[in-house]
Order: sequence, then C-alpha cells, then structure tokens
Amino acid sequence: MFLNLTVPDQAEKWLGFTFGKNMVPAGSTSQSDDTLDLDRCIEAIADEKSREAFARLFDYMAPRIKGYCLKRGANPSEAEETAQETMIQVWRRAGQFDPARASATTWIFTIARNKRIDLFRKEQHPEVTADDLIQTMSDPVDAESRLEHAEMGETLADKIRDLSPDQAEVIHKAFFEDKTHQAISEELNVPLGTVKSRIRLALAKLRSSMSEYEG
Amino acid sequence: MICYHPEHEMLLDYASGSLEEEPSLVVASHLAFCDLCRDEVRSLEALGGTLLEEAGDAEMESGALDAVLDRLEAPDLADEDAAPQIADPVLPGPLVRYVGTGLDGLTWKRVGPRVEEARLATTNAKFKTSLLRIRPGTAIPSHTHGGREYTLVLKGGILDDDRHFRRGDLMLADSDHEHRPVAAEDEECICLAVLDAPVRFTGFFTRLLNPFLGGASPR
Repeated sequence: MFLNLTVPDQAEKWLGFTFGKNMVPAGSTSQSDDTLDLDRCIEAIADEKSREAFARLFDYMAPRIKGYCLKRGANPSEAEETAQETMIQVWRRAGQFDPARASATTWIFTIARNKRIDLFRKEQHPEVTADDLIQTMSDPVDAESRLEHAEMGETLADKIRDLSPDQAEVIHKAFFEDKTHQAISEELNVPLGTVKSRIRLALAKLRSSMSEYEG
Repeated sequence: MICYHPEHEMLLDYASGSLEEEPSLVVASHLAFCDLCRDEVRSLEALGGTLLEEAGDAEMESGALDAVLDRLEAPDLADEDAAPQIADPVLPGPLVRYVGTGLDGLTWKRVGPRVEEARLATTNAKFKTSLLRIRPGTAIPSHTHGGREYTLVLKGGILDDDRHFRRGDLMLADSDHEHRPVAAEDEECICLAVLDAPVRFTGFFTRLLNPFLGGASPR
C-alpha cells in the first residue's frame, strides 16, 4: 500500500524534517498520525492506477486548485471545471511526474496553470521538456535532489511571509490575478520601473533562500 | 554560452501563466538553450506550487470526485491530436511542437531583397509572430513601432551597436529604442520575431484602411 513508506537508508536521518514536511494531513476524517505523501500518491497512480491514491490526492488538491482559480478571478463554475480537469490530467500524466525535477504541488501547479490558460484564455502555454534541452546539463535524479525540492517549498513559504507588503503584493498579483507586470503597474498606478524593482527585490529575496539548497 | 536573456519579470509572467501565448513561445524556445533561465523558471514554478498549497480551500461541488472518477478512463483527445516529435537542427522543441513542423515544412515569403519571412498562425491577433531568414550582413527590416519586439536568434547572429546576439540569445526592443540590427557576416541568420504591435483598428472595414496593420509602424 502506498502509505507504507519505505525510506531509503541514507535518507532516514532526514525523515524528521524533510519527508515530514512533504507530508500533509490526509483530511479531517483521518487519524491524526495518518499522513498523505503527495509524491507517493502520484507514484501509486502511475504504477498501479490506484483510484484510492487518486481520491486522496483529489481531496487534498482539488479544493486548493479551485481556491487558486477563484483568486485569479474565475467564477465558481469555471474554478470547479479547472480543478476537475486538472485532476484528470494529473491521472493521465502521472507517469511523467519526476520528483527530482519538481515537488508534487509544483507539478500540479503547472498543470492547473496550463489548464486555466487552455480553458479560459483559449491559449496554449508553450513549454520546454527535458528532451528539448540543446545544451544538456547533468541533472542527476537522486534522493538528494528530491529532498532538496521538498525542503525548498517549505523555505519558500517562510520567505514569502518575510516579503514586504509591496513585494508580496506584486508576486501575488502575478500568480493569482491574470496580470503581467505591465498591467500591475497600471492597476496600482505606480510606474512600471517601481513594479519591476519590487519584483526584482522579491525574487532576489526568494532566490537567496533557494540557492542555499541549490549550491 | 547564452548572454542575452528575458527579463526576470518576463520569466515571472511566464511561470505564473500571465504572459500571453506569443511571448511565452519566445520564452519557452529560449529555455531550450538556457540553463540559467530554466532554473529560474523552475524556482518560480516552485513558488507557484507553494502559493497553490497556501491558496486556501474552496469547497468542491458535491459529487465532484465521483464525476471525475467516472471520467478517468476516457480517451485523452489531446494525446490523439499530438503531432510526433520532429527533431530539427535549427528550431528548438517548443517551437517545432507549436508550429507542427521543422524548418523544411515552413512556407517562406520574400519580404525584402535578402529577407524571407514565414508567418506563424497564433492565437492573439495583436501579436505578429514570424520566423525571419536573413542573408549574411543584411540589415534587418526597420523595427520602429509602438510596441515591444522579441527576437530570438536561432541560427547565425545579429549585431546591434556593440552587442552580438548568437543562437539562443534574446534581443528585446521597444519603441524608445531606435536600433539598426544587422545579420552577422558569417552565415545566414534565422530568428523568431514576435512583435507586440498596437492595434489601431479592429473592425472589419476599418482594418481595410490599415494595410500595414501588424507590420511596420502604424503610427
């Protein structure tokens, strides 16, 4: 069963603060010690076509995707549709999920982002895949980078809380409202240069937290 | 070695999904060449993942899970439409998938004595998106306009003042910047050009009054 974690020996020492942070409570009806590992759910979907794993993932992620779409200005039925369509895509694409490349929530974020663009802007979101890389870089798939991404998400969440209100505002507008930095400048009625410098400062702050783990 | 990159804000807009399809095509094509920007986009997407997790729950409609479970085994129409991947020596993967063909399958039209253009069909009419094929040493057609222009070099090079743009480099220009780019001497230059042209006339009849719409300066 996918919830019975087998942790690689060398990773055991990380358990307390790394795997632990990538697990989340599996919903209000569960036992308090029952946790949901998003990566394992996606792997169980890919390997065993586990509908049970899918249902757990759905319970956790679908309401968040819907919340994200509502914040981006979708009406409730559009947000519902995007959440459902995103989860169907998660089922279909589960075999492409690579925990060394992105955390589960990051991967699901990109699917939700593209679904929203597809359904409501009727546009594509051109993407680059690992096969496209013209100057290939070594990108080892190992337990360490998997830990790195899990931990990075957590550090980022802390760093986002540390941003100044001005900086947090532009980052939120970029992610949650369908606004380019140009449009943000018009809406906030501040010069484009100011928006750019807020974005740059915010990104520099966030980047400093990531580079600690990316070496 | 890639020297000229999209601005950080453009990568943020791309990662968050705010950037329109046509400039996104430029970014994705650049990412095929550029480790640095790919890492940045990955980090920004990680930020998106974190924000998604913290977005807050919105209750799903009752029966949503059952409705989705019923549809899991339905065929994926997008998969059936997907074109087989073509490897092209000049065009990066994101561009090949977008256009649905390699360089050989494009229809080129002469737009100057030493310049050919292949217009790409895209979603948003406000952008003019094309591939340009320019003979060595030729000046690139005048780019004075009211909007921004993104030019991604795919083959050869472009010289603009003291800057030299090579394969994978992105040249950004806006209306404030009067520039006279020239294709480098050593070989033909092929580039992806996306012009964010301000649309003056959008009605059917008024559009007829503006034959240069989407082309050079409508000013």
